[in-house]
Amino acid sequence: MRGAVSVQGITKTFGGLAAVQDVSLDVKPGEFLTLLGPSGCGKTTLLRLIAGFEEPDRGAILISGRDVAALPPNERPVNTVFQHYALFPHRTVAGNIAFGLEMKNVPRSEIPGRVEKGLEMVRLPGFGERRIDQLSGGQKQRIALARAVVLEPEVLLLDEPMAALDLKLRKEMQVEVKNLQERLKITFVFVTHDQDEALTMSDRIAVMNQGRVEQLGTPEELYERPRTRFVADFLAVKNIVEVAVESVEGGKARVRTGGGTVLFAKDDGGYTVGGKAWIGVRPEQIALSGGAENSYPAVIDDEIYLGDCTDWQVRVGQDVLTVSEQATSARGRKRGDAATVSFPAEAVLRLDDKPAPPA
Amino acid sequence: MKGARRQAILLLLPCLLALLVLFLLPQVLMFATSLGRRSAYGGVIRDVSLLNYVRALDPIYLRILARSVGLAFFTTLFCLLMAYPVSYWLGVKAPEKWRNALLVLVILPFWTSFLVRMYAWVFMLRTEGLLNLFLGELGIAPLNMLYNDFAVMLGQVYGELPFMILPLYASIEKLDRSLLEAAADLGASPLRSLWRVTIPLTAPGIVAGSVLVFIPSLGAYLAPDLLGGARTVYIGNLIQSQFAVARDMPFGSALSFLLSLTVLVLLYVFRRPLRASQA
Amino acid sequence: MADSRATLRSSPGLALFSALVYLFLYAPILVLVVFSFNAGRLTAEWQGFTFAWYAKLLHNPQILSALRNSLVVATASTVACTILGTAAALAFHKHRFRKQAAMDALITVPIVVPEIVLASSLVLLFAAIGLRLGFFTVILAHIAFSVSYAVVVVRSRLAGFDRSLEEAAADLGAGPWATFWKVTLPGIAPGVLAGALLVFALSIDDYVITSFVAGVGATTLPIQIYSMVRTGISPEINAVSTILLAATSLLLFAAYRLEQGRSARTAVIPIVLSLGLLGAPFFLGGRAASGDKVLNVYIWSNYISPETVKKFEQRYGVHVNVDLYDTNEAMLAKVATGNVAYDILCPSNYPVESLRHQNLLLPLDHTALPHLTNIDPRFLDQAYDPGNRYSVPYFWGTGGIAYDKTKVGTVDSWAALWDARWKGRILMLDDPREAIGATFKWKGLSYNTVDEAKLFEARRLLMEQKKLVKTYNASNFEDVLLSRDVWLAQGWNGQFAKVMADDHELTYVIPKEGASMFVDSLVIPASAPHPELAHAFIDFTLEPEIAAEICRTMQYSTPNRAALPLLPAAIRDNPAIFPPDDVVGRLELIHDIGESTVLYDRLWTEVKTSE
Repeated sequence: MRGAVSVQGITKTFGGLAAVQDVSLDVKPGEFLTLLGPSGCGKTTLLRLIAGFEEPDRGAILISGRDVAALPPNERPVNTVFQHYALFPHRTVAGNIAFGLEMKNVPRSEIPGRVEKGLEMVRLPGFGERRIDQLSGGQKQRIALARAVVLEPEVLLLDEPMAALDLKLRKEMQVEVKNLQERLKITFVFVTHDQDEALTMSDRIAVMNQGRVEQLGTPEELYERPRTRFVADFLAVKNIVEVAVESVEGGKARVRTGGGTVLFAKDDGGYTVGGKAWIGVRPEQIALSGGAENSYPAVIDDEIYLGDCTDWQVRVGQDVLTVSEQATSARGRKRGDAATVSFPAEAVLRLDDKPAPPA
Repeated sequence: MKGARRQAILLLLPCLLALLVLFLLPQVLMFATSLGRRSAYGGVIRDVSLLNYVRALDPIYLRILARSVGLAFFTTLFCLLMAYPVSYWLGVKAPEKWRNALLVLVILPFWTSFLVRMYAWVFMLRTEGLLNLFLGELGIAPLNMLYNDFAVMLGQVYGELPFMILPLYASIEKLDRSLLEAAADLGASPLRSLWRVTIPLTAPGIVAGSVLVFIPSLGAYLAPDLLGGARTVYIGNLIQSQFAVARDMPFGSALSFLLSLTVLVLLYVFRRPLRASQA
Repeated sequence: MADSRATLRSSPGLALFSALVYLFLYAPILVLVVFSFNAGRLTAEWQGFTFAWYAKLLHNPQILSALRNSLVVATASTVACTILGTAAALAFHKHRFRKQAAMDALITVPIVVPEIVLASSLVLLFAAIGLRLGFFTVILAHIAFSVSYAVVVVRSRLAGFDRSLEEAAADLGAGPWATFWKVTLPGIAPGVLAGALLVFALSIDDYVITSFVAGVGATTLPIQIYSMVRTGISPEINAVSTILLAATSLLLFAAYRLEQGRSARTAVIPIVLSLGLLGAPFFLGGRAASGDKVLNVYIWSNYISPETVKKFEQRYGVHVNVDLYDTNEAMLAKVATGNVAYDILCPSNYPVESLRHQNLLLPLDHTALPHLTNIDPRFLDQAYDPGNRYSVPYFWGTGGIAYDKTKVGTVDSWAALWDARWKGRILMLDDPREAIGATFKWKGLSYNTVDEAKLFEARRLLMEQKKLVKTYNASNFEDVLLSRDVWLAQGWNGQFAKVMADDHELTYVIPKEGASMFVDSLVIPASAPHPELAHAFIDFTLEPEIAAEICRTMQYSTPNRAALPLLPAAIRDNPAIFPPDDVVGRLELIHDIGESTVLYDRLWTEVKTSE
């Protein structure tokens, strides 16, 4: 059980507004779990509830099987890496890393060794005497990480630790943090709004929206089978429309968009004839060529060049689709050209409008 | 964070208690006194009457009040005109490593007795004072600089100027300089960008400084006495003389109470910008 | 940010203007520092460099003890306010209270309420709860007016404090205490320090409130300063101010260095120097050996010299606390509460009446005052105290006119103060009884006239006179005359006599119509803790040698007949100090006029507010 986190029916409101609503979540020991969502979705509040900076209105939190409701933050077996690092400006790098050790009454003689080990762990050996304002953003991040992990917490909480870094540094740090986690085998609860970051690093991802967990799963599950409109949208399933279900037969549903386009979707049992449904198609699963089903003549409206690929805005009747194409095959097209688009029925994802209420 | 509220209350309690006992309770006693009467020998006869408040509405006292408001207004105006450029220079132009030291220098004069500083001004301004000696060296006839409205204003501005500079500096220093560049980029002349961008954005500092100067100036009595030669009476002098000359504590208390009330009303009216300036 | 700053061009105009404003702020400071080294005493001219005033300071036990008191009071109130203020600021930082607006008001209002209001309300409070005025009440009062500043200053610093630092500390295992000491306090230390320095400055500079609530043995530096500046800016005061300024500058400099992140060693020297300067009064002129017995004297400033006090202490083996006041009313306000432990007071004649009528005085035991017979009978058995049951005359004086005879010739009438030739060269006492009274005297009436029609006529005359008057002043009028800001000044003789000794162009006259007379007497309050010793003290001052010494050092007129032959001729024959008998016959005592005081005050206010 060491390192397990169990969030049970937690609700937290601020001035009548629910920041976290009846959330239940189990994090396994040694797991890298990411809370993913837009700002204001409650992910940071949930993290702060686990850390003990906020008190829940309802519900319980168990860390390593122990109810921590009565424990203030300083007595919880968790440590946090803060969004803006929260390094103490009046202490040196070594002073920051030593802080928690001092608080734990680690013998004075042991502290310098453990501080240096922490610095080596984040690949900044010999930085101990630097002042905080002499560090770059990336270095601050590593120090914040070192400061937390030298205490060997059962669970490490990371609150958007990469938000302030530039793209290249962020990519490097993602790898580094992931490696560190695998080496230390500590449970990580990681908060981010960056879907790529979440997909790259996590064992599992909990996508949050308006204080609730909308979907919990491995990166693959989430990527391939987003359940709700919100999750799909957040994970860049760009072509999301509401459709009318005309018929369901042979494992396929025939649906019509608002723009009048008729298409077939693989039936997952969720379509009701005569009813409405939401569907989504990933841009990279649409081909700019004819296909066996869902194949339409189209006109190219616009081009968004993205380097390794190109996003085309194409018009099919009165509907507009985004189609993503690898850079190598994208040459030779321009605005106004006629084209054909197609996608298999399997690529059409049926999406729930709202998350199913928790069981 | 369990008991954060209780902890906060425990922290606040000693200070609150001190203010309740040492400030609010005396004010209540003072109000009670203001309802009484002066005894023939300058004592207080307990009573419950609003007579002293009716007396305070006499035109002569209202004129004194109006004059005090005028003094406070012009003190505020001149402080603002003098402090704004200085605060702007401190916040935007002054070398950064000197900034804190320069700011401390604004407050340092406070460590010398105000009385002593006022007398130093008398020493400089008087007919055969330092400034006139200096002017004499230049062949200029001595000027009448003491015991007039000019001297009162000078003393007031001198005493209150730091209270204007500090909040102004705080708001100017917070100013996002890229906004000024944006204004310049969009074709605003420096003067226009001062008027259209800098001043509106530093409004909370202007209000805070103005209130901090205006309110104490309402109760001013040392500068009018020492530099103005006591030729005019301001509300502060009037209150002072009720306690220290006429020994009419009930009337003095009534006047004080009215002054405190005015201050409270002003604080209420300007509560928003004041709070904004503290953030 | 650094880049954008570089694009803003420098502006020499702005820098020059700022420099001028700094010059404005520092001009008086510069003057007082420079003139603390000036050999001349009272002129604006430079008469050579000297350390004399600093040396004199070391031998002035009154200034040293006042400085000591001020430092103790300031330190105590600074510690208290900083703790209370920081705690309150932290409370607001941690939690948003429901009655926040009311609490904000409670904290802000003391900052903006006029001092005199706080002062008088605190006197009421201490009387109501029966707390004896003394050192402790001064400290309480200083806490009352400065704790708000501490809250506001620390709060503004906390507003910029990153809360996540505290969370980080808690997260790393620090409990509330450890978090406060190791993270919050270091983070807000500059704010706490700024708050402490401000409170210290407010406390060490406060005159008004202290003068109202100070009790036995609690004379602070500003009270001492005020009593000394009544005779112009004394260079000794400049010297004390310079020392204080140097000490605080050094402390600030040390704080600045520490904040810049320099090593603590660079701050040691300024801190040591500063503490050395501030600590000096505690080692120099150490407190007189305090025996079991003490006597608490509350007297006008410049009314008794330390040497005289020392003689009494030695003879009786006691310790004497001398505290000073500058107006009868300040003393009355305190004594009227019955809340202060003085053994000796020195009220003027009409306050004796007031005190007597309020049963605040102890009847004197004349058998314990064998030297009472030394007093000139002309000063005994006056209407304010028939049979001298309560009071023994100490000094007496007159309220007449002093003037520069080289500029205005000879003056013998109050009419000179209404003479248009001296427009802008006239000083009137800023005192309704003296100013209105002189007007009455001029017109052949009594100083104690209470007839309304006559009072209105006096008001008219004074309003007419106003355009001729340069200034109204009842504190350092002799200094204004000495500096020739005016040529004629109404005032009391003792203060004039002091400057006339240095300036022979000045002369003092009792106008032919008559003038006011005052008698300042020693009395024992009913609440005196040491009445026997108080009697001994009064009798001591009645001894010829002692009375002569007091008169010689203070230069006011002694009512002691036996002392006259012991005085130097320069004083005994000075008509300003001892007017001839025929002149004495024209003098009139100012009485307490009861209810009419209010009308006098109102008419005086009307005169002062007229154009």
